[in-house]
Amino acid sequence: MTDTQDIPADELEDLQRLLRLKNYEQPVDGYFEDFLDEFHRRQRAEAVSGKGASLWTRIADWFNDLGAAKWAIGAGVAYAVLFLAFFGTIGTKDSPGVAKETEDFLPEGSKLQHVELGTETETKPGEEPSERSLEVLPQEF
Amino acid sequence: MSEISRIDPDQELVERAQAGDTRAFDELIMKYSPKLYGLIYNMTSNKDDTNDLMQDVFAKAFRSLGRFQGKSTFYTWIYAIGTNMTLNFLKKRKRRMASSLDEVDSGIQNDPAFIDYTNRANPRKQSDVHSLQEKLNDALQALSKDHRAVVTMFDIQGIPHAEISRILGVSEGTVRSRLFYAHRQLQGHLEEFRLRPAEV
Repeated sequence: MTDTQDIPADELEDLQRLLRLKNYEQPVDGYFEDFLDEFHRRQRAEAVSGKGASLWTRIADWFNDLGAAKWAIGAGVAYAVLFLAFFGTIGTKDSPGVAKETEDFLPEGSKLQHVELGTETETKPGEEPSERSLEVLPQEF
Repeated sequence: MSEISRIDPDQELVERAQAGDTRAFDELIMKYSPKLYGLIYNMTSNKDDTNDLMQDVFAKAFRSLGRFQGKSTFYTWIYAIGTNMTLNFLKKRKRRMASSLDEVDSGIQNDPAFIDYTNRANPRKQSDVHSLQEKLNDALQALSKDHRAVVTMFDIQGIPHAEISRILGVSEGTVRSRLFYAHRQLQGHLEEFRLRPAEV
């Protein structure tokens, strides 16, 4: 018999009959009722402690449920974080070098502004732009 | 209203559970915990790990129920969660832990396959049960976790190839290929148990 040949049908049937004997291995009587009670206890304990599944656990669950798409989405998130980190430092007082370099490319007389994500602000002439921290809001899953 | 397959027998329970009816989720647990237990137990050969993993599987299912859109049946979905969590657990475990096996139900004494086996073995049937249990367990543990998963689902639990492919997210061809390889491995490990007619 070569490695590519199927096991004869009667031998396969014998093998499967043996393997099905594993179904006789069972937990003790009442196990599944106790299992449900334990599940309830764990859920109540999480609710009382206020911990529940941590945000990171929920994010991990959501991410793992994406399947193969998680790699593309993960790369996209990484690029987005890098983008925000880089351009978020432009115009800050702590990074004059970057701001100066960028201002060199702006029309004469214009100023860099701090902008909170999703909002627009106007800086009146003579006013210093207000410093705002950029917030990345956690997603709800 | 969520879109749930018309052929999902658990549609009503799932909808109720998604709406916040915890007793509906309890019914789903009672319905599927025996089969999930069998899946995880035969993959891990450890009843304590099985209990912990089962708790984690249903906890995750409970957290994720709102995202279940009914593109598959609930059965396929919960089985996929159980299989993936067990495979991840085994992957992290790496080193083979000591088995912790359940007792064998006395009904095995009436099973034709067991009767054929004992007809060729010694008359002390009780020790045969444990001996057989150990050897079956050793043979399964000798398989890789991926091969053990398909053998558990197909050979032990009788799940069709198509359903296994949906659960694992692989093609039916891959399922058949893994089974083919696993069967050859098992046949080698269980050579002494080849069922032949009793000698007269």
